[in-house]
Amino acid sequence: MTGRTARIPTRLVSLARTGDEAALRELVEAAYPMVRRWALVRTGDPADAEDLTQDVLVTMIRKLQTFHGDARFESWLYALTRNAALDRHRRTARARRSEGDPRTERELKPTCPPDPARSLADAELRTALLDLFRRLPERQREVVDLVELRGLGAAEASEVMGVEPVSVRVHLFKARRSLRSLILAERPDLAEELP
Amino acid sequence: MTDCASCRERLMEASPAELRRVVAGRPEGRVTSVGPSGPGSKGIAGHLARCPACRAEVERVVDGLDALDMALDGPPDGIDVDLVLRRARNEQDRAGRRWPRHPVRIAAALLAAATLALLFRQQSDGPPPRPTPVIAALPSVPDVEVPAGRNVAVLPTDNPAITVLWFF
Repeated sequence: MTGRTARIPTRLVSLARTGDEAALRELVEAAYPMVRRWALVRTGDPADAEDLTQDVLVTMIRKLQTFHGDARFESWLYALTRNAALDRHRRTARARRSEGDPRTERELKPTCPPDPARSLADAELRTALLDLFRRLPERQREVVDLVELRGLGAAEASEVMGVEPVSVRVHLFKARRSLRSLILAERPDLAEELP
Repeated sequence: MTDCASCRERLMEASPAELRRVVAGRPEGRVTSVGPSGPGSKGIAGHLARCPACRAEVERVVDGLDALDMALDGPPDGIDVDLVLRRARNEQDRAGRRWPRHPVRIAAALLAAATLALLFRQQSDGPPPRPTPVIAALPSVPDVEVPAGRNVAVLPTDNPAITVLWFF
């Protein structure tokens, strides 16, 4: 559960805004795991998530001067990721329409390539869980990630997501039921598969 | 007495921390304190201790959440920072080229725009242009005798040889 309490230091952001090369590098490295995870929550596909992450980090550097510290840096970064994901989704949908491909994005998603560093069963299990996760609506996926998995409170998650805390609670209530029901219904063998 | 259905219902709403306590054999908190038998009861805790099926469900949910968490963290590949910085600089340069960056060019463009706006305004402040006189031959209206108690409308047409008379 990396990044559960991770916060990018304000000092680092301020230094990076002055154009300091070392600070910029450090900022990119610090933001990468956070953005990559949000990107995967949005896209559900590891390859798409990597591309999206790179786009977001490039945008982060380009727009760093527009961040004035009114909100948390993580909230600003989260909004960048969200907008980039929406843009990407629109572009993909447009390209698909122009090619006359009626399939949905979900059907076009390639399966995750097996991770050579881990066992095949392990990689398959992760892929299967990502598949279950992808079945939840986008907002529910976001609250599952921030609250259920990373352990943020509803208030903190609402600050990051830019929504009301009550909205986070409503999505969380639905998401918990949906995800747990899916896990229980579709992975009866889960406990045996896990290392 | 807590049954499997109410236990499952409760576990659907419990926080991951509460579920982990159950798995660790320390069922405390809401999972156990709020059950069908009321606050403070050991209904669900007791049921979980007796029912291996329900305990297994809790473990599966916890394991599933942990596996999902790991899946979302992904492989620790890292990022090519040089590539990101290079792309950002290229995009910034491209964006910069879209507008003339030289201050003299910007000033010249603004001056040209202001001159055009001034000229346009002077033109529009002058006397309004006179309408071009239109000389058109009025069609000759025929003399019509209208019966008493009735009216007539004379409607000339494009064809000068034809005029429509409408008695009403």
